[in-house]
Amino acid sequence: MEEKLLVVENLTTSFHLQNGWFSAIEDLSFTLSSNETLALVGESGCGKSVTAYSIMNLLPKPGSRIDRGSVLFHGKDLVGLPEAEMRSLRGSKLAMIFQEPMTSLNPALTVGQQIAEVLYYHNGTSKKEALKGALELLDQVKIPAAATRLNDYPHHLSGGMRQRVMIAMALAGRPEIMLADEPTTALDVTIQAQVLALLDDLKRELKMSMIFITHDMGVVARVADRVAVMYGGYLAEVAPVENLFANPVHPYTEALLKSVPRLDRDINDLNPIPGLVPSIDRMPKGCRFAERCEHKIDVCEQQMPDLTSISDAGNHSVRCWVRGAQATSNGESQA
Amino acid sequence: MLKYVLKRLAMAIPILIAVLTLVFVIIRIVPGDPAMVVLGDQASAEALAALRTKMGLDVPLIQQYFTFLFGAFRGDLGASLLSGRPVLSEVMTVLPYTIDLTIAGVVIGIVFGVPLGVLTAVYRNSVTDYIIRVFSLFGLSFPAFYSAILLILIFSIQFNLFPVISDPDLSNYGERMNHLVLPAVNLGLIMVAYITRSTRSSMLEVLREDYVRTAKAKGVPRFVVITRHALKNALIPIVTVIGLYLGVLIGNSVLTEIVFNRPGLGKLILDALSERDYTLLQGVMVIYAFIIVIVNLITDLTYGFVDPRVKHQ
Repeated sequence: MEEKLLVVENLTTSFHLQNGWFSAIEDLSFTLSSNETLALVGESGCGKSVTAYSIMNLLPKPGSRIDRGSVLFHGKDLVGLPEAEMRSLRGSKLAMIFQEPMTSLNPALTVGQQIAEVLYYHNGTSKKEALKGALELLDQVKIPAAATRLNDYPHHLSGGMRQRVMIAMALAGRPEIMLADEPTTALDVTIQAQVLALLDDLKRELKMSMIFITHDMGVVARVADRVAVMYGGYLAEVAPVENLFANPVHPYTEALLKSVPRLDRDINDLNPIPGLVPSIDRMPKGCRFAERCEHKIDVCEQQMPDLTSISDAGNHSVRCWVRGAQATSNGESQA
Repeated sequence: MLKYVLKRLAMAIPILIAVLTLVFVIIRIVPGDPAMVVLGDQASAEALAALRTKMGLDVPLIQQYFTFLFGAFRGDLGASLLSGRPVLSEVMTVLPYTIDLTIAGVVIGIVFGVPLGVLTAVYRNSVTDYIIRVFSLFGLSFPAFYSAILLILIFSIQFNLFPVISDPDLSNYGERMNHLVLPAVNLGLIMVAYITRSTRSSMLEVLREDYVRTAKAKGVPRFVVITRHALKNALIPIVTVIGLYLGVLIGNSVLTEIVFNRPGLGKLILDALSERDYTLLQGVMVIYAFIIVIVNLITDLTYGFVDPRVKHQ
């Protein structure tokens, strides 16, 4: 059996709102293998980012907590790990890049200083050596004239360049897992493509695993090996990327794919999903997608279905009363 | 940088002209004849006229204005009516005392205010936060003259640690410092309170920024996240506040100097007022305006050091 680098089991994270604690992600279980890219997909507010912050132990405190579950990294549970130990993993073995390159870099420190810092604190290199390392990293993320950029401040750089700096910073600790939280959402389309290509190259080159958070199905098709579709804090469907696009089973996945505009189809075929993701303090009792679902039956509004495997290979799972049962009874399998 | 400083100093000239004009007008509006003030209301008409000629008050107002203006730019602010000495040298004799006091007050304010502000922000809504906030509110609402009297009662009279009257010989360094402690603490308390409060709010804002989250995600030690990443950015508004409150501080230094009977600009103003020494009064006001202009310039220059986005061009 291939080695699982990261095993997330029954992870439940809650946030404190005015009228109590509410779970933002619930009973989340998935795995990540070496060299694999897992895409976490879903609408805003479905818990994608909370998942990443829970893994990194970067949840805003006070105001949020992990209620249950475990995050096993090389078999070691990151939940409840002492802060000092967690800190030595953050930025080295586990790195994260964020959505907003404009605000995620410190305006008062030079690009070089911000990258060198990672080397200085994690590898114990001298400040001078660390700056040299920063220069190499800037080269690696293909920033032109890297030597002159080293002393630039973030406000001298464009959005795409800043995101490259963020990536260089994340790479500095030679991470095994890179968590990318919508890294291209804030960028222009042409720059998006460049940054995606860069991430893809680096991932291969450095043999990293990646958790790629996005709501963009086009990006998913490009970068992901496997896809986990999230809705209302639950996993709705997990499948290899080809299976998911060829044969979406969960009504939400289906709807999500139908809502992507495509050049080869009439604009009138575009089917937006009616309604919004309910906020975490107003979640329905049963299946959280039920009120927006075209296929719902009585049981959907009563009880949450389990995530069940529907393929012989065991790599396609879905959480749906209607489709899950159909798929299993038909003996449908995803090759 | 040098070009920027020169440009800013050149820009100060119209401000100073405006201040000089204002001072000139106000002094003329105030009822009363300066000559009569000096000589008393029993003086003979001849004596008054002679004095007016000597003071330059017999020429047309517009001529007086330009004499005053050009004099001021040559550094000649006239002579004190009372002592007859040049106003500028009167000011220069006491200026070191006020500068000592103000700088000491600001230093105390920064040294205690910034760390306390950071503590309250990092441990917001904790017991530490509440205690420090109550004390800083105390510091803000305490009148300077009252806290000065309390300090004297406790540390000078009860414990006999520091002199009651602060009138040091400036050439004796030890004495200079010893006399400075209580007035500086009195002035510093207010500054600590101001700086603590503004540091707290500025830090609270910065701690929510994305780049602080980035720093945490990099695995940088917490202390470094708070100082290098958060505080460095939080300092920008704090510098503004310090610059603004320096004006308040100079105002409070007047009260402090009076209570401690300490020589300085504050006491000079008080004396000029009570003796109706118009020329001295207008001279000191001009000097104050000049100091405020310089302080603002220093504040603006400091931005360049704390915020790389500010370029002095």
